[in-house]
Amino acid sequence: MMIGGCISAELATAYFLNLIPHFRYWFILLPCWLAHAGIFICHVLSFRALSIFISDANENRQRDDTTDPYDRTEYLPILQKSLKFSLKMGMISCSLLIFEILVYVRIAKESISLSRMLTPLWVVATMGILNGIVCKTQHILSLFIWILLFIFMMLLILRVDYGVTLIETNVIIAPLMFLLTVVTFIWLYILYGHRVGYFRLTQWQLRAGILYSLGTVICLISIILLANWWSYYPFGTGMQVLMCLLTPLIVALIGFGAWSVNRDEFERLLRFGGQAKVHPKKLRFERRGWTAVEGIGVVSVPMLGEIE
Amino acid sequence: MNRIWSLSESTEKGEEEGLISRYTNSDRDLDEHWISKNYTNTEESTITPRHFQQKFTYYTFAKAMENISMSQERGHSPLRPQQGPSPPSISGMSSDNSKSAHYHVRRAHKTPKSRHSRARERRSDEENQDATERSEISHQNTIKTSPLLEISEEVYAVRQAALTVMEPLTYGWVSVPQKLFFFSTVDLIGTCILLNLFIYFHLQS
Repeated sequence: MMIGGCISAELATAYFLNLIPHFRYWFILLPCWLAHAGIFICHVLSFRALSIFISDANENRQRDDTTDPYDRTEYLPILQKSLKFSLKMGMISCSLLIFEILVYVRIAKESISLSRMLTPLWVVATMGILNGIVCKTQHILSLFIWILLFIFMMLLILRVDYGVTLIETNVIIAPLMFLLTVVTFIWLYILYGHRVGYFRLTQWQLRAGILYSLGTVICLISIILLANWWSYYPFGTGMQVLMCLLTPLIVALIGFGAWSVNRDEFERLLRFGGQAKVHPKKLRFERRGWTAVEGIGVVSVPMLGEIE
Repeated sequence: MNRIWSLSESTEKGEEEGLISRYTNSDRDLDEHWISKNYTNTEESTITPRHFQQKFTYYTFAKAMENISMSQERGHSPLRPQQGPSPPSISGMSSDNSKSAHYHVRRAHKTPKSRHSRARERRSDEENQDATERSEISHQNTIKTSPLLEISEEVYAVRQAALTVMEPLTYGWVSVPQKLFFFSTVDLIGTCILLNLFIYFHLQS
C-alpha cells in the first residue's frame, strides 16, 4: 500500500509540475490500484487463517479432554477484534479506491464535477462532524479538524465548479494549512507529553508519533510551496525535483506510522489478550448524588490507539 | 485465570499499583544483575530467552514485594523501592516473615496438556516459527518498558493461534521485519532521491 502510494505520489507530482508531461493517467494511478489488490490478498489470507482456526477449534470442541471452554475466553475477543480491524481496513481501502477511480474519471474523462469527485471525502467529513456533535465521543479538536476539512472542500468547489473568482488561492488553502498546523501541534503535544511523563506511549506508538509529526510538517511545507507556485511564480527545476522528493516522503512517513500502530495493536493483543479493559472511573458529585464518570487515565487518539 | 501472579484481597492495592508503576528501568538494570547472580533454582533444564524473560518479570515482582515489606519494617515509604543491596537469595516467592504486607504470589500451574492441545501447539509452532521469532523480539522489547506481567504458555499459544487471523492484515501498509524497519525506510528515501536526481540530470541534459 505504502510503496504503491509513494510511486503514485511521485509520478503525479512529476506530471503536474510538468517534469514528465507525456504520462497516461492510468499509469500514474496503477501502483495505487496494485496496492489495493495487495490489501485484498491480505484479506483473503486472513479469512483463510480464520477458517483454519475455526475448523481446529471445532475439532477441539468434539474431544473429551477439550480445553475449548477455557480457550474461548482468550480467542473469542481476539477474533472479534481481528474481524473489526479487517472490516475497518477494508472500508478505508474501498473508500480510497473509489476516490482514486473518481479522480481518474474527473481528470482523464472530465465527465464529472469536482463536488462529485469528492463524494467519499464528503461522506467521511460529514460523518466525522455528526459523530462529534451527536455522540460526543470525540475530542473537540477532532470536530474542529473535520469542520476545517469541510470548509476547505466547500471553498475549493465554489472556486472550481462555480467559478467564484473572489475566493483567492490563499483563502482556499488557509483552512488546510490551519488543519495541518493543528494536527502537527497535537502530535508534538503527545510526543512532548511522553517526554515529560504525562503520556506513556509504547515503543511502537512513540515511533508512529514521530513519523506522523514529521509527515505532517513536511506536508505543511509542501502545501505552502505549492500555493506559492500556483499563485505567484513557477518553480525552477531544482524546486520541482524537491517537490517530487517531498510528496512520496510524506506518504512513506505516514505509511510507516500506520504500520507501527498496526504492530502495536498486534503486540497489545498478544500480551494482554482481547478482553475489554476496565478502566478506573472518577466519582463526581452531581445533583442526584455521586456518579461515576469516564476516567482520564486512558485517552484514545485517532491513528495512534489508546494512550495511557 | 492463568496469570502468574495475583494479589490477595487483603493487600493494599493502591500502594502496590503505585509501586509497580514506579518500579521502572533504573531498578530493572540492578535486578537483571541480581537475577543472573542468584537465579539458580530453576525447574527447567534449559532456559530459553523467553523463559528467562518470564522468570525475570516474575522475580522482579517478587523482589518488589520484598522491598515493600523491607521498607515497611524500616519505616520507609512503601511506594519507592530501596536501592540498597538485595537480599542474598530468594527461596520463596513471598516474604512470609513480613507482617505488615500480606500478599501472596501464585504460580501458573502447568496443567497436564491434552494430546490435542500438544498437537495444536506443535502445529502452530511449526507454522508460525518466523512469526514467533518476530514476536519474541518485540515481546522482549515491549516487556522492558511494561508493567510486570507474565503470560502462561497455554494462554500464549491460544492467543498466538487466534492472532494468525490478524497477522496478514498488519502487512497492509508495508511488510518488513522489525529489524529491517530502519533500513527499509532509508532504502525507500534513497530510492526517491536517486529517482529525482535521475530526473534532474535528464532535464539538465
